[in-house]
Amino acid sequence: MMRWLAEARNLEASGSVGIFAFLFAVYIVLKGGHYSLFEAGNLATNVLPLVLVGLAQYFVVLVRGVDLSLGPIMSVSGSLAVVLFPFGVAPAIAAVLAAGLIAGCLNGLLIARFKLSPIVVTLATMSVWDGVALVVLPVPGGEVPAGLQAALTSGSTLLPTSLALLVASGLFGLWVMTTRFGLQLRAIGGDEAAAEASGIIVTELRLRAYGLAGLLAALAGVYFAISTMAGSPIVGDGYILPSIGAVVLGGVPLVGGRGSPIGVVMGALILTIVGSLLYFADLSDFYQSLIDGVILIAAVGSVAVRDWVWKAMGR
Amino acid sequence: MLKVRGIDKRYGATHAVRDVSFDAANGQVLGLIGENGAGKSTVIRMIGGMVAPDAGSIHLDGENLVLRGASDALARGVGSVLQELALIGALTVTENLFLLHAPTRAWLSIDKRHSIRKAAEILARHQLNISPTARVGDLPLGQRQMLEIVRAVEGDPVLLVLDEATSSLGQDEVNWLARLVRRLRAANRIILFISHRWDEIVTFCDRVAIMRNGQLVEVADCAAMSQEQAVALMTGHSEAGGGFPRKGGARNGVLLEARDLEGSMLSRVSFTLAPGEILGLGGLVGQGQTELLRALFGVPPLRGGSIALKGQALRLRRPRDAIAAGIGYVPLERKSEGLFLDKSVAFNMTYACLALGVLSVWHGLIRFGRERAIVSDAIAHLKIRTRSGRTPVRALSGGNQQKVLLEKWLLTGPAVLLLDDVTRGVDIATKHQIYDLIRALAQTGVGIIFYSSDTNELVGLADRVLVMADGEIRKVLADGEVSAAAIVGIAFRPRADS
Repeated sequence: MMRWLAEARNLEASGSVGIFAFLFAVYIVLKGGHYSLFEAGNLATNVLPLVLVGLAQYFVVLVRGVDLSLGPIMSVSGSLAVVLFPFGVAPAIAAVLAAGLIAGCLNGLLIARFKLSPIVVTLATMSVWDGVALVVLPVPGGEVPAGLQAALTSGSTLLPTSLALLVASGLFGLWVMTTRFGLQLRAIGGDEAAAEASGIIVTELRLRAYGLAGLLAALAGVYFAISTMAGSPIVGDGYILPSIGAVVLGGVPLVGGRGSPIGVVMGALILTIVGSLLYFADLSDFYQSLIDGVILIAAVGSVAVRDWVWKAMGR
Repeated sequence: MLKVRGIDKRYGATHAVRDVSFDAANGQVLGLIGENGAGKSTVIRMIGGMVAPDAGSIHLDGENLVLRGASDALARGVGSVLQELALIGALTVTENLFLLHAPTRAWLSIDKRHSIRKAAEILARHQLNISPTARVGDLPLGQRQMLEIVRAVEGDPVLLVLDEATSSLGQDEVNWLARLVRRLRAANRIILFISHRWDEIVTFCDRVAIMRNGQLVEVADCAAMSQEQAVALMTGHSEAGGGFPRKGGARNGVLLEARDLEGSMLSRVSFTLAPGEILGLGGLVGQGQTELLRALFGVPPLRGGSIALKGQALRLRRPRDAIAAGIGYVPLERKSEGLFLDKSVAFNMTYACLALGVLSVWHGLIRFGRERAIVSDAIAHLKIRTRSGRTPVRALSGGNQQKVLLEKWLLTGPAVLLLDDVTRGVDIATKHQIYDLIRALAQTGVGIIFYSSDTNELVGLADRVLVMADGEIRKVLADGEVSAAAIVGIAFRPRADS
């Protein structure tokens, strides 16, 4: 287990850990120096959907792709979940996750099998799922069993469930990357032709990456619906850009093959904590989207600046 | 037993392989030679499952092989080491060795320590002095190629295809491969060996199959064939190949003078180049030869030292400076650094000289009529095999691509031309055309610096040879001193007694 955790260090996430630690410290200072477990639980509840959808995006980015439809898949999942909850919680969640998996595999099929451009395919499916979500649930609302929300967010007083789920999500991402599947995803991102010639069936692996992404996005949608006690057919639209932002802020290059899932978790935390800092800066929530965009450009720009400096230094 | 019967492949209007049939028995090494574009690559791609034949059949040990991709081929006991390296540079040696079958633990995570230990065992068994945790992208080209060969052998294939697997190997490494191939032969494996070096074909193979224009023209015992016969069969004329153009023609004076150059992989490099001289760069693979050529082209800029061209000091910060000064560079990686593969032959030939105004008429507007004339002249003069000047360069064979690249620089009217292993992966007949071309160019007064990993080529073509080791010039062999023994002898001598 320790050796397995040591693996995490090889995956280069230290930069984003540092940035998050700094912002978090600023946040605590602004709050007057105290921070409770309850608040940590709230932060985890707020960040968890973005962590899940960010990890989803990460697996797709690893194989040199991008998935713009993950947000709308979230919308469909949350909407479908609240519609199905009256039929039983477990079957509802199972059905929603299956739907997410199928949606992801559909993207994967079009992109991997038929070699269509990921941006165009997922831009199209983005629109499709947005429409489906509105058909499933025309207005926000629906039924979420009351006990479920408490059980999956605050949980016991010793350890908020959401915090445990946040850690579990990070560990899940790390675990995937230590399997053969994870290694082969990195191989495809590193050099697709070489991976194919080495005997990896690139089409199949890429399909599975998109399928996994759909599954995680569905999980994010369900969790969001449960934690807010309602389904929303448009909630996912607000996650399209941040899912890519979390990946970029996590130090994962968009050209694929490299980067750590821990970085992605940190990227999601950074974006969320920035939202909290807006509150102290007396800025309204309306600025969140603007700030997200600026941060994303700054993150991509900082990589370009770093490469430029390296080049100037003759590396 | 491998039985290939009547395989056939067309790409659009090109009939790449016509009705090829041959056998290879277990415990036999079959050489496959032919000019670039003769169809060898297509044949081995069909056998290796990367390309499906339009007609014909391939049987291995009595079973009909219908392969869908490299993964399928590996499962059926067909291993291939192809010209384009199939290792992933961003991953470690161990990860590359165990890309498919890494040992895992109960919870499916790869057992890293175990796989590193197994990788170390494999590397030791094959006498490869490579760290199992090194990143493959950091290894020299030769080691990468050896690693790929080892990976293919470790898959325990019944049939092993080696497509120019020696192209990046030095002499010691070629001997290593020869021992490995002998072991495989003793273990009753079938080996298909593709090479452009006749001496290797003779060393490695029992029989040799010769292809020309997509057809198999001869299969014979290696012992029963001479190089001249083989070249004649490959090219279809009896007089082709063999000799190098006559040496000499260097003029008095100094065209280029380099003094105390310092840069990545280079230290204290000083030399002069006369007009009309072909200056060879020799030594083991990866001793700074490529770095020297690149530095003279401004990538990356030198850290110290001075360069003077025709007595004028040059400051080379980027390729544009070098081009403006009249220096041209044909890179080792012609596909990624030299050519726009999807652009036409004409585009590739003329884009470097556009900035010099060779084709401009008014404010940089291109005279397309003149371009067409120049391009069709060049195609005829250099005997470039292409349908027309509008054909994308990707469709040309390696040797013809190299000619396009040479013409690109000839059109700029260079004073100095830097050639980085330009005949690597080029067939024997085209090699000789390129030698003639280089010598003819030198006779017009152009100074040429010529690196080759093939020592015989240096001996045959260069007027003088700089032997490099560890980024330094170890020795300058003057005209008359140049011999394979001298070059190899100096290159192998350790630093201490120099």
